[in-house]
Amino acid sequence: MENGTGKKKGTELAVYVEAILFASAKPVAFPQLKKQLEVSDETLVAAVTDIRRRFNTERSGIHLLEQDEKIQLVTNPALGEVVGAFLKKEASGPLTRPALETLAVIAYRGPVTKPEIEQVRGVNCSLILRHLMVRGLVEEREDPARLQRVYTVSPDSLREFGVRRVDELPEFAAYHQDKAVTELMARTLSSEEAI
Amino acid sequence: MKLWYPQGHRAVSFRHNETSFPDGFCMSFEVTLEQYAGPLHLLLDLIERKRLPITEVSLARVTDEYLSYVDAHEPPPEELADFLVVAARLMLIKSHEILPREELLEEGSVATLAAQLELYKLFVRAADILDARQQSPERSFVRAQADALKPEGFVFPEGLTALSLAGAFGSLLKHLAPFFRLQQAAVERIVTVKERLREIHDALLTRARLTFRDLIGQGRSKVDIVVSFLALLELVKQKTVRAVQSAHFGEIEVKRVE
Repeated sequence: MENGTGKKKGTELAVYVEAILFASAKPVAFPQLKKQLEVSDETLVAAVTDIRRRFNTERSGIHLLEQDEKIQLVTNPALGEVVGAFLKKEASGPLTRPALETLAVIAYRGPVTKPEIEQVRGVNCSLILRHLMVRGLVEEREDPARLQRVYTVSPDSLREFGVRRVDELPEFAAYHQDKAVTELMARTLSSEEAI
Repeated sequence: MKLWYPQGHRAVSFRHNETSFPDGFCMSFEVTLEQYAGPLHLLLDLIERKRLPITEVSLARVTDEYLSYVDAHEPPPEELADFLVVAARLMLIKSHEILPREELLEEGSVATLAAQLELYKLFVRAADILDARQQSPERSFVRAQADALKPEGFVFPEGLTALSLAGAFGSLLKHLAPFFRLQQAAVERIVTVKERLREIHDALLTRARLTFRDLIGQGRSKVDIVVSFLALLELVKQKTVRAVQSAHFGEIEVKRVE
């Protein structure tokens, strides 16, 4: 497939992706890149891995941020204090407890549906979800497999939490894949009908 | 685990004879202005304040405090229904302790509330983690302007036709349908204990005695019945009415106390 132009292969492709990311500044979606560069999923993923390996080190001021098939070049989170001071960027105000809880469910279990979030929190979350979307911390999209809307945290959200991928959040594996959590979620969801 | 209190208004007012414990946990206090993040937050706080494990038995033990909290601090209207649903489930759990077990009790939902609370507790911790991450100076920035992608003038979006526009509107309506249903359901569910209390009281002014079945009337929802029952219990406590039930699951007769 990537023979289309015959020039973008392996690590060479990574250079193109890198240049596009630098020029775009905004998060760039995988489908956009695949179409533009005429490459397959696997080739693109290999290129992204290559960029991540080269950039995401202590010695680099620029890091690669990845979230939900979108990638973006951002500053090294460890330098946040100095860079923020230079840009005169104030840290954004703290989130309310309901907003934090909702964001936690989305970050650790995303993509999740609204009923799943509400099952964990025990309250209707429409207003909080809208608020989080307005603040740009949460994104909504259609899940073709589930025929429902699902929610994920935004790349901006990850920047705010100082991580480059959602799985870098503390204890991500425990919350995301842990059998007990999955079982609890399934159990509470299925027995909801009984009430 | 640390439970959170809203910044600015530390919601716990201490009485004069308060006793402070080394870990900052204070015993004799009264909750006054607490703004809970939801019914589960309130429930978890009540259980942890007593240092109880999350079990059916613990839930039954905090039922009264839960109900009196909801009664004293009316939750915001949009959350009232959620608070009442949890109240109903607590009453069910408590009824398991008092009443003989019969098949009409739903086992599933009892196991579920403790499980749901356990799950909620996990995410309270996750929220604490995110809170700490957000407060930490570690964060990334992006280039300020995305000059390269600025579109020039108006670009007619690809694939925009009258048909796709109609399709988009159709699917929007489809998405809104459950929302409207939900809103209606919420409105139906919101009848406060206080309102029902007044209704029962008024009913008893015209008739000296009636049965609980009369009070519930026809076609009320399960939450409604629970609310009616709560109101009845409250009236009994106030010694405004007397309730007599001659057999388990028998008719409850309500009489006015002269």
